[in-house]
Amino acid sequence: MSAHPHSCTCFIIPSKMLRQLAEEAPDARARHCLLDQLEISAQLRGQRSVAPVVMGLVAATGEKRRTVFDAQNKSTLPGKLVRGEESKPSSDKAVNQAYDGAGATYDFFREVLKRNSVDGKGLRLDSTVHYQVKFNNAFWNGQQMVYGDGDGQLFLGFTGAIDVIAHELTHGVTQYAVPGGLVYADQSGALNESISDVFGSVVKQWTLKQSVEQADWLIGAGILAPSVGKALRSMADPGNKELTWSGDDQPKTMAGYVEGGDVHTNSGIPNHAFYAAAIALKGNAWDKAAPIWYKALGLLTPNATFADMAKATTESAALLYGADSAEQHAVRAAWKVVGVTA
Amino acid sequence: MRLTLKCTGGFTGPAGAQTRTVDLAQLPPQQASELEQLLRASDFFALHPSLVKEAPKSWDFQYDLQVEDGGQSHSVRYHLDEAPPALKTLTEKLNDEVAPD
Repeated sequence: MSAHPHSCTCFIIPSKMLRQLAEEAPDARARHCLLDQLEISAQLRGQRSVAPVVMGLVAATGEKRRTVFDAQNKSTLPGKLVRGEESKPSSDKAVNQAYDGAGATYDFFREVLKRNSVDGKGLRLDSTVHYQVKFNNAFWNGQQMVYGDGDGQLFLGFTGAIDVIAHELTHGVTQYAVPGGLVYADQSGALNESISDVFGSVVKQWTLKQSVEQADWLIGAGILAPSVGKALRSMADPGNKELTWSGDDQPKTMAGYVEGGDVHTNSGIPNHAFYAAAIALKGNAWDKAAPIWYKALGLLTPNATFADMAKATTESAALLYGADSAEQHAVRAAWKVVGVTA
Repeated sequence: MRLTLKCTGGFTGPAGAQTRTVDLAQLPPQQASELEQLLRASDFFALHPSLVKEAPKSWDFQYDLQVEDGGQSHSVRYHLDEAPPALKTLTEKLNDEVAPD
């Protein structure tokens, strides 16, 4: 499915009608086309004097473009369009949280890592809220974000945590940035999960302007019912149930590696390597550690192991800061902390 | 006939795994008939116990379906893309029509 069909033009149609048509579109391609026109129409209304020039430029280069849909507790995606770029906030909190979280994540990748959206080419960020009934999850489905409301007993919902939103959008980044993507099983799957946790946490830190010392390094803080726990995972101390919840089974080092374990379990090891590197590099995680991890993505292959990631981050540290630099030594040492040798 | 469907994946992984349990005898006859037909169309009891993708993506949820019918019981672990069409439809119907336990 093309996310950016630019072949159709229908600016004369009022935005209300475009929105209605998009909702009733027979297929995804037609819907995306209409939604693109809807966004361009909104931009035109705000930029009348330069509209003809800007219109083409916007379509060609891609800017921050977000749409939020409501699944109305069903499984059909994307659902009913409820908010587009530059439209007014919704009365639905989850809609606005999904919109704002996608925006913050876009801004981080654009401003810090110079990446234009998930695909590097300005892919529109689509999100669907209220997926299924009591759905205890959030996921990137290869094309868009999807959020459940939680069952109210274990999970309270997923749009309230910026690191959850950034985690899932980073699965999209990994899909495009790692040549061939990362297979979601074994060590490559745990790496896939870890990379999402890494950027989920860093986006949160960047949004809050927290240094590595100030950050809580928790993943999913606030999404669990208080009686269940405080967060889903800790990058600072994987497996520490006092910091997270009673079911936290993450190993911190290779000594605790679970052969055949779930990708969400063994991701604790590369998570802690990133934490150790960021602490050693001091300051803000987005200054050095995150760019090193990001640059490493292009050096990976679909079945990459933890050792491959250690090698890739060590190489990217050398590329960014020089061979034998303090930064490269810090990265190598961080992997040694978790028992992985490059 | 009793169906137990477990779904694992996404952000939460095993922590957010959800199970749906349904006893066809307790459902309205038409709904029970539709589910049973889908089960039979998939030839469920003859399916290989593992129908998982060789190279799954992060968005591939893992399903475990156990069916108990009289004296026989069978379990299949699968990704939707690898499931026969009838099993895929059955999974989607269970997700939509049966509330998690």
